[in-house]
Amino acid sequence: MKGALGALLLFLLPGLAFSAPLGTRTVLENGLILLHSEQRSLPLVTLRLILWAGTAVEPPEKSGLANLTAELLSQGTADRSAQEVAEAIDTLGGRLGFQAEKDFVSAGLTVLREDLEAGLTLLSELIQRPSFPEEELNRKISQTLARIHQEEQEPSTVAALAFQGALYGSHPYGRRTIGTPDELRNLTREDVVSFHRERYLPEGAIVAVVGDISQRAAREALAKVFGGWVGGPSRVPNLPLPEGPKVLNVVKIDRPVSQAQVLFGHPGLERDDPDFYAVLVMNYILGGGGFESRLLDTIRDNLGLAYSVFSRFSTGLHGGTFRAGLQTRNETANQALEEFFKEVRRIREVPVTERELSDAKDFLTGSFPLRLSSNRDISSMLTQVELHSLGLDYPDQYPGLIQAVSQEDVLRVAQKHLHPGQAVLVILSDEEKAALQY
Amino acid sequence: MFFVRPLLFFWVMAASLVLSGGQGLASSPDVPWDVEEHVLPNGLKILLFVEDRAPVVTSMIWYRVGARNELPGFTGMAHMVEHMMFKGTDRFGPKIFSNRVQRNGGRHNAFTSHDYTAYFERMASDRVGVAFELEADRMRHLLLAPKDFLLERDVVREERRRSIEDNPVRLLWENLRAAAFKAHPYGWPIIGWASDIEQFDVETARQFYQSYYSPSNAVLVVVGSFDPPSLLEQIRKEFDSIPRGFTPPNLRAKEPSQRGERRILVKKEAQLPYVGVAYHVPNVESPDAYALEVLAEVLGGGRSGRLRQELVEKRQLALSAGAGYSLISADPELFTLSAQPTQGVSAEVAEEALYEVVERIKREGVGEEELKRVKRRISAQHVMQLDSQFFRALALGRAETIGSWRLVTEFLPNIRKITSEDIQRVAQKYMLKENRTVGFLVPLPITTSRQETPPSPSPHGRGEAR
Repeated sequence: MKGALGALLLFLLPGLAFSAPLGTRTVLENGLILLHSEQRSLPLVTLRLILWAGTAVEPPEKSGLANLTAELLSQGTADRSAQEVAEAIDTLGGRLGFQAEKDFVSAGLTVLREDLEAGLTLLSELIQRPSFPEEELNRKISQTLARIHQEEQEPSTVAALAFQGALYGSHPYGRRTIGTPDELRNLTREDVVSFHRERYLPEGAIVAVVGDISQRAAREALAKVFGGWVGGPSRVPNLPLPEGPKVLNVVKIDRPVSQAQVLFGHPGLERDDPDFYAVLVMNYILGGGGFESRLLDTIRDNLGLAYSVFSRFSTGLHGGTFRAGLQTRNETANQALEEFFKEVRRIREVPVTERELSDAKDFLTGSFPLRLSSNRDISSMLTQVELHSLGLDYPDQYPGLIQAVSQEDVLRVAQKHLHPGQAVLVILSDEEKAALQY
Repeated sequence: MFFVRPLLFFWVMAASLVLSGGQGLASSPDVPWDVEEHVLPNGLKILLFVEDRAPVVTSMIWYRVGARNELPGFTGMAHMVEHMMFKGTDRFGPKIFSNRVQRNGGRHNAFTSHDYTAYFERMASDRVGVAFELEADRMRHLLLAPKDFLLERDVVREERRRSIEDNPVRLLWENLRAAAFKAHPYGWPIIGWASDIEQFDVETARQFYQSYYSPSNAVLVVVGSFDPPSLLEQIRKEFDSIPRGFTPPNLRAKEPSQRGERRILVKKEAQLPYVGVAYHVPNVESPDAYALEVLAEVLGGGRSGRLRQELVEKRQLALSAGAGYSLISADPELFTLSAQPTQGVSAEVAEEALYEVVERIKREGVGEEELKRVKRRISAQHVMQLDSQFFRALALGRAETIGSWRLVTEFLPNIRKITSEDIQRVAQKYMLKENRTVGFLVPLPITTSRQETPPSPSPHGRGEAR
């Protein structure tokens, strides 16, 4: 299970004219929303299930509970030990796993068509009847504590955590998915059991089924294993939007590293903001367009200062984030930052060229079919469309939305949605060598 | 642009990719590899595989050149040339390549390993001609401007810092490889030693490029939705006129047998120790290779793999533990074991625990149920990998580069024949103390005296490897 569905990465979300809708949408008796797309070319079925049990709904002072609960689902059920569950999953030969994210927990299952029933039966057993053995709970907690300890050795992770903490503070989006050591240590089996009871409910949950199966057969198969599962609604209540910094908040971390890690950002626009598509185009030109972006062209191609430079807007269900980052040797950190801010200022002050605009639009519209080239892609797109109410005709709408963006729009949204003076700037570096001017 | 070997996950995914046509294992369904093979008069090999699900195509061009073909003092040159392939040609100048691909809705990148360098474009079917035109052009007409070369050399130095220098586990593996191989270039890092990269000069890069970039040393793989005759016509139009070029010399280097355990330490700022173990083993040319693939899966595959069950779940000594092997390599490679000890556990204890699991297989072999499960997993995984066009092209290209794409279709039938005795036999034959190199990461304290405390919490993400 991979991929951050919670954070719809804008630069990954492009379009072209399709005549058929993405798939169908129905609501099962227990309130589970079924999205379906039939794809017969391989004998496979991919299923993606979204449950409203992410970190955003953890009770206060229980950070790490959502992740712990999700991980413990496959560590024993009423009928099977942890090892028996592991063997059952491997016997299926497919992929089955759970991933806690900010807004939700996603469950993924990919199996051969003939194994679908067995796969669904196992999945429903893990979701509906986990036993949460005390011993497994303690083991997971101590493993997670060790993992947190270990991650301190990864400069990129340390910088990312500092960024998130400084940006979101006590907002639920500021929580670390795997938790904080103090709060993790205090989690009990009772916490897990009640979180599971309250949050793992079908009403309002989303399931996307893609592959070698008809809509009707998918419906019947789901009804069979999830029929007795009732309750909800479990959708996450609206959270307040995070408050952004009022000034440029610089966080410096001094470490014996060969390369400085730089992260810059602030809260970003929401998915339903009418400026969304203009921002998509603007950010492609600034730092989302890979080798074609201004940041990469300047900082990497023209100056040789970095291997990776990027900027992106991501949109969670409760507020978005703008984030840009680069790595450069300590001695050139100041120079790279200066160039970075120069590009941010430029796109806010000077209209992009006609050529830049048309190149961005051509990429964003022309690359859309690549986003739908596998069953896995289609299941992701279906859930994104449902989460953000984009409509199943989204592939048809998309090119028009992109084409409508003008040079003036790009300038306007750059001014409105980029805030170089009200942001978090994290610089992890060997400060003696970097001699930071920030 | 990235180099492959140190990205272990990538390797492992690719390793389990290889696949069969025809009779499925147990009940696994029939998914044939209908590959069309052509060779142009200039020697360019073409592999076409139609897959009609979406109106898109993945085109990959593979060159039989990698870190394996370098010389001491010039390590990393294959990867450096890969970077320069994006810096313009006589005809198209700099900054045109990406613009042309992306303006046509395409995505592109490249990767280098010890054995090969590959370039790919993914785009709508009606635009793929753009990819062929650009690839044919840069096969012979690279600009290699001195100024761009020096800038790109700096970029590669940053890439090395990013992926190796500040990453203790990667640094350990780099050192472990170097200790395991004395005579064969598999011992040096794909990205190259830092001091070699610093001294790269454009003339050496030009010679390297001219020696290895030619149709007779390349394979073009196209997977996706297209009409083969007309696609072939498009390919001919772009590639036919390129002269055959030299045939690169065969690599002579051969690793002598190891005669005694080698042990190394790497001291680096880190929070926890780490242990890696590497045994010399054969590649696909040996009949033992398939048994080694199954052994790797028994030890490190899935959730029920023995190393995970024993070290992580049961004994709680490690945060993770695994095994790695791929029979797809041009020359004999390594079979690896690894463990990330948890807090309070030493590398020595984790190392012993790895051996205990292996020794048990040497004594008892593998149970019937377990073997069935492992084979079933290998078989199901391959069908699932087919969901991705990219991986179909990758599997074909890798196999063809080191031998023949047909290895892909022979894989499962050969896996199916493996018995518990075969696994026991190869474990006994290769997993010997005399044949192993062991590396420990020895953590040094991370904090400097000037350290500030970073603010706490939250989820984490990483930049894209581009």
